[in-house]
Amino acid sequence: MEERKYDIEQIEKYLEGKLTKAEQIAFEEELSVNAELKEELEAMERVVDSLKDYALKSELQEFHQLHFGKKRRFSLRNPYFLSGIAASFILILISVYLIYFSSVSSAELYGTYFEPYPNLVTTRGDNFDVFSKAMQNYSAGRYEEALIFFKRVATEDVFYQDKLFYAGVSHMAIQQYDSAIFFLNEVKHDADNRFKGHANWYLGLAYLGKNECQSARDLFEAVKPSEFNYKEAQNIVDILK
Amino acid sequence: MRRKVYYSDHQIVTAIQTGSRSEANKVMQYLYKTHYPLIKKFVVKNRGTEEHAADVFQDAMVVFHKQVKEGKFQSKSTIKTYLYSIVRNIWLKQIKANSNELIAVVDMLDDLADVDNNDSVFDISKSAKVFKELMAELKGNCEQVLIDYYYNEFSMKMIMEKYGLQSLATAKNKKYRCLQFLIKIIREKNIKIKYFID
Repeated sequence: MEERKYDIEQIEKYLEGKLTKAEQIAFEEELSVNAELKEELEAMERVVDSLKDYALKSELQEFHQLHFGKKRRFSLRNPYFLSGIAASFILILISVYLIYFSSVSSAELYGTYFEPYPNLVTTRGDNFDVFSKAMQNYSAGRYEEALIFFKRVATEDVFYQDKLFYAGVSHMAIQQYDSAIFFLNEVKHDADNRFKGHANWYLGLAYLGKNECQSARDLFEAVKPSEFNYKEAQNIVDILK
Repeated sequence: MRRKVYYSDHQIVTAIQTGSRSEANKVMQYLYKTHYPLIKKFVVKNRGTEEHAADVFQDAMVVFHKQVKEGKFQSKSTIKTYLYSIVRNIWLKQIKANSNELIAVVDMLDDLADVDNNDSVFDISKSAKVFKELMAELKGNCEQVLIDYYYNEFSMKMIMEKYGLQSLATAKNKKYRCLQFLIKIIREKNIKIKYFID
């Protein structure tokens, strides 16, 4: 990689106002004499600006597709139109029935949305043997076996916090919702747990599994934009309204 | 049942300037839903298609968002008139570029706003297309990492958690590597669009 006196990180810190006063003065002094640095700075500003514009436009495109995209043109002369209306009406009736009157509804939603979280934990060596075995079983979809090993991961284990999360998800995978809720609440109330931002999503699903739609909805509503599966949570909130 | 939502122009500007990302998103979606039908009518009546209308309106929304953020939007006119005027400028410039004929414009509004009509408005529209191709060259989840950091305003901790990275330092490195790669391909392709790198 090309050697530069100021690297991309420092330029960015300057743009974000994160340099100390002394660093900022030094940077600006350099900027006034170093044309290459000035060019780098301007380039970075433009690229970041364009990136934001691109992201906003992509979001608007998605929004357009959702609300205005590819609608079929209906006409009373179109023989499919009336049957389309009839089919839509039946679908609406089924949805209303599923959501309001049937115990299948929440289970179906659960089935549509629940996916075991991927194994993102890297374990190292024999010291973490029990947890490694639990995760091997988890990755292979053997959740009951995984739970046997998770049970043996002690509170002082470095992977204890990860165990709470994956044990919760394992219980969900075998429809043991109350146990799942117990573990996921532990994750939710542990400020240091790296899966804290995933807890409301999985808790919401666990309550769906239990057919407690109001609690599920409250939890999906509590999923913040920065948290796991925010958009999906909003979709379920809309369905449950 | 969903309630019908209404935002005043003042609320919209405040949400974009000082609101959270999700507040800004809500008002942008509200604007889109409310004003797209009028824009579509204008573009379709003036030699365009629905696809043109969507494209030009999205560019205008990006321009509007930027101008509000930078405090350049003056509320001398309504947002509706302002957006319409940006679309009108971009679209007329596009059709004039493709035709030597005189164009009789069919307008949908009587008033027009005094829109900052400099080239950067049109650069945004052009650069958005080029940028899309560049982003397609990014590998793995680089595109999403950059969008999460710069657009969704994720902290490094959030990046670390979302992408299952082991430490804050790894997350930081990943983000810098992605940005460096993006700048590198822009340089390699010698893209000289004013909006990127001169």
